[in-house]
Order: sequence, then structure tokens, then C-alpha cells
Amino acid sequence: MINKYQYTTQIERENILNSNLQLFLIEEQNIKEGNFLIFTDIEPIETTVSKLNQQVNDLNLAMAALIGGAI
Amino acid sequence: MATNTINYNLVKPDLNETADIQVINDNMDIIDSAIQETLDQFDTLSTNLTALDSDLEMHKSDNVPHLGVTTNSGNVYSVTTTKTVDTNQKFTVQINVAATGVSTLSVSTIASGAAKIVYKANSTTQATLKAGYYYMIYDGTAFTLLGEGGEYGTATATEVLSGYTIGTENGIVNGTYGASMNAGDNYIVASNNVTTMVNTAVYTKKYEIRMEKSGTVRVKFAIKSSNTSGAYAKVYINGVVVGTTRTNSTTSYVYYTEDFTVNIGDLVQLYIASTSTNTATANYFGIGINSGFEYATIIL
Repeated sequence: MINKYQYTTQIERENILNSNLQLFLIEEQNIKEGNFLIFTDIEPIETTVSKLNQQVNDLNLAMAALIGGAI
Repeated sequence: MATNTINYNLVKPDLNETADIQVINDNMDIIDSAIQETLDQFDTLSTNLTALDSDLEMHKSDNVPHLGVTTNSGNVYSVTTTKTVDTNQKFTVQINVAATGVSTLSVSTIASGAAKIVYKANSTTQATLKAGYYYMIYDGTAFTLLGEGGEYGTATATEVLSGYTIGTENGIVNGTYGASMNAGDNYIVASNNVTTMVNTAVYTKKYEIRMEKSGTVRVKFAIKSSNTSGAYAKVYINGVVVGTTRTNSTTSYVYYTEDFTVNIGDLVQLYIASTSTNTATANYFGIGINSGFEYATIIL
């Protein structure tokens, strides 16, 4: 789901960002129609890939430790 | 000795001659013939005159009287004249001032000055009269404008290309479509070339698009960071920073959209920077306007 919030001041902007930490910011618009922050609840693919890469690295480290310990 | 008349050659006996009955009879015959010929010519002339009268009557409606200048009460126009207008006769009239809506016209010598509808040419739509001279025809019920077009289309100035005109109820209107750009979400040019800035805090130009028209444009791009150190970006025009400083400290793209006023030939640019410990990546730098014309060219 996409959530779009309008703000007029930097304080409002910060409040919106702090109130939506569970969501992912995907776009900020400062256009003639107004200022908007757009969030999604779907994790961006880059974040998913990054997490998977981290898990792979952790597993590799764990495996290396196990192998090293066995030796 | 006898002589003859000049025109009909009648014999005129001399005064001392004896009257000759045959000569008298011959003269009578000549006179009779001449009289008959005259009568025949008169009949012919009479016939021709009748035909001329008929022709004159036929062409009476071809007379185009000028009725004068109107007065008005709102969109109801009146003209006082001594000239008559028959059914199917044309006339001219000068409208004193432009109407604000559909108009009627009252001619003092037509139906005792009753107001009559004025239709557009080739139409049953009522006309909105403008100040100036009009050429009309009276059909016995209403007036119809002559010598101008009928209906107009629905296009307005914003829907007609700049540099071209369109006829409207209010006369010729100049088109404004495409005269300048207006920021919108129709991205006419965009670069999908990924560009990066590695461990460099100095803002460096990575994209550049030249504006081919003046107006306002919507500039959009996306940046992300290789770690939480942050990716930074700013929009410049002709090497001068004009955009908000954007910071994204996540590894996912965040799009930034901002409207700017530009002039023809301006270079809209994106500068990015990273920190000494990460890589900033930018992509999808584009120019958005509200029409589909290509008013920008990718330079970098």
C-alpha cells in the first residue's frame, strides 16, 4: 500500500517521517501541487537483497568458524 | 404637275389638276398601312413594357437597402428606417455595440417593429452580434446572417498550437499550446544510466539535460547509498545549485521530485556526492511536463 502525506513545514516533515518508521520512504515531492512524502509498506527489493546478502555473509562466517573449529 | 410627300410618297395633285379618284384611293391605302404599322409597333412596345415591369418586380428583392445604425437595450437591438424589407430580401445594418449573448433585432418597417431572432449563417443557432456592419436576409420570420461562417468548433487557445490561430465566437484567437512548458508528470526525457560516486564528498555533475523551451519543469531522480553513511544529491541549473539538498541513508532508491522554472537553453543538472566510506548511486534523472512534446535534450 502506498501512503502519501502532505507537509508544509520542516517540522511537519520530521513528524511524518518519525510517525512512519515502520514504512519505507520511496519518494519526496516538492512540486507545484505541494510538498509530499510517499511511503510504501512493501520492502524495497534492494533492502531485501541487502538483507539476504548479509545473511549469506553471516552464514559463511558461521560455516568458516565451524570448519575452523573442527580442524 | 403632281408632287409626292416626303415620308410616305403620297401623291399630291397640282391645284389646277382634276381630282383622280384612283390617286386618292392609293393615298388612302398608304395611310392605312402606315397607321396599322404604327399600331403594331405600339403593341410590341406595350408587350415589352409589361415584360420589363415583370423583370423589375422579380429583381426587387435584389435591392440591398442599408437600414442604418441600431440602438440597443441589452442584447435586443432596434433600427428605425423608412426602407422596407420584403421576405427573402437582403439588407445591411450597423450594430452599435457588441452583444453579451444571443441577440434579437427589431426593424421598424418589419412586423411593426417586432423583435426577430438573428440566426448564424447556415444555422438555427442564434447569433451573438458584434459591433459593426452585418449583412442579413429576412425569411419572413427571422433574420439570418450572411457572409460569414456558421458554427465554430470547441477548441480553445490552450488546445491550439502556439503560432497558429483559430476562429471563435470572439474572433481570431492565438493558440498557446506548447508556447511554454508547464511542470507535470509526463516525463519527456529521462536517463536510466546508473551513475555512482565512490568515497567522494565533493558534489559532482552526473546528469545534464538542455531545455528547448522556457517554462516550468518537474525534475525527478533517485539516489541510494551503499551503506547508512548517506547519498547526497542536488539539482543545479547552469552550474548553480537551485534544488533542495537530498540525503538518502538507505540502500534502497528514494525518488525526489521538484519543480523549477527554466529558460530555453538552460542546462538542468544533477550533482551527487557520497562520504569517504560509501558509494552514492543515482538513476532515473528525468524532466516532466504536462504535454507530450520533447522540449528537452539529454546532454550527459
